[in-house]
Amino acid sequence: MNNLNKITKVLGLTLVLAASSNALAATVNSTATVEVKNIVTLTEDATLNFGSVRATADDSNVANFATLLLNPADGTLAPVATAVGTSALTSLSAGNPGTYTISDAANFTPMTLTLPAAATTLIASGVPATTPTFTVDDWTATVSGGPNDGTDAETATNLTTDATGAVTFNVGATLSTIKSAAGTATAYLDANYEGSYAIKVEY
Amino acid sequence: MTHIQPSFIIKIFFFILFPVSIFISSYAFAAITQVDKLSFGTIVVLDNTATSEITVDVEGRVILTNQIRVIDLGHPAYFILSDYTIYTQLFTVASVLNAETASYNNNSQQFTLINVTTAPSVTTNATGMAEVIIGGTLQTSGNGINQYYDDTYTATIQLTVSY
Repeated sequence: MNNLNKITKVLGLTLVLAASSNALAATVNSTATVEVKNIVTLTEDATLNFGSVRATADDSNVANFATLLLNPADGTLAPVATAVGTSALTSLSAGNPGTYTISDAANFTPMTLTLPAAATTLIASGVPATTPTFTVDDWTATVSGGPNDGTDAETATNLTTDATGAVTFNVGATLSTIKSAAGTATAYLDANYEGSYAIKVEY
Repeated sequence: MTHIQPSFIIKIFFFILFPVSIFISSYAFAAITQVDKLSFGTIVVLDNTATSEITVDVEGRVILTNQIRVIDLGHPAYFILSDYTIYTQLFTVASVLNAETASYNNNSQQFTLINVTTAPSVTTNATGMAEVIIGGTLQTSGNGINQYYDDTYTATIQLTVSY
C-alpha cells in the first residue's frame, strides 16, 4: 500500500506540472515596425515663365544688357535698372513665377531651400549660332500660402510644412539680355527661349 | 509485501487523469489573435548626432524627442484574447525579443526598441474575451552617422498570457 501511495503522488505531481506548463500560459510573437522617409517629394506646379518680351541685344560690351525682374510673390515683371547701350527688354505679356510644392514631409517642420547659385542661359532651339541668348540669375523665392505667405522662403523657418506635411513656394529671378562682348550677335528671333535650373529642398 | 491489483491502478489513473484532462480542455481552445502590429508610423530622422526617441503608448499617443518627426502616425499593437474562462484575470507580459531593428538596407543605421509596455493583467468578459494593447519606445543610435535610409525597420516583440 505504501508503494501505491508513492505511485499516486508521483503521478499526481507529474500531471499537475504538465498541466501548469502546457495550459496556463500562451505566447505569441509579433513585430514592431517603423518606416523612415527622409526624402521629401518636390513637385513643380508651374514653370518659371517670363511671358513674352521685346528684346534687343547689345553685345558690344559685357555691361550692356537690359533686365526684367520677375517677382516671385505676385509674378509681376519690372525692369531692374535702365538698359545700357542699345539693349532693351520690355514685357509684352504677363509671366508667372515657378511654383513648387513640398509634400510627404513631416508636419510643422522647417525646410531648407537652396536656389541656384549660378546663372542659367536660355537658348532657342534650331536657330543660327549667332542668335543671342538670355541669362537668368538672382534667384529669389517666397512662401505661398499659410501663415508665412509672401515671406522669403530661404530665411530661417519661413518655409515650414503645414499639418499635412506640405508647403508651397514660388521662385522668381531676373531675366537679362545677352551679357557678352563678342560683337557677333544678331537680333533676337521670335522663338521660345528655354533653360533649366535646379533647386533643392531638405530638412 | 503488498500486492497491487492492476485494475486498481487503472482506477487510480482514471480518477486522477479525468479531472486533469477536463482542466486542460477548458483552456485548450483559447486563442490570441493579433489585430494590429505595433507601428511607429512613418518618420523622419532629421539628425543623428544625439539619440532621439519615438514612443507610441498604449493610449495611441505619439511622443517625440529631439530629432524625430512624424509623417504618418503609428499605433500600438492590439490583440484579442478569446475563448478563455469568463470573468477571469489573465496576466500579460510584453517583452522585446530582438531589440535592434533590421532593415532591407544593411548599411543603414538601426533603431533600438528600448521597451514595450502593456497592462499587467486583463479580465475576460462575459464571452471569455479580453483585449491586450502594447506600446513601445524606439530609439535612434545617436552615433553621429546620419544614415537612416528610407526603409522599413522591424523588431520582434513577444506577448505572454497566463493565469
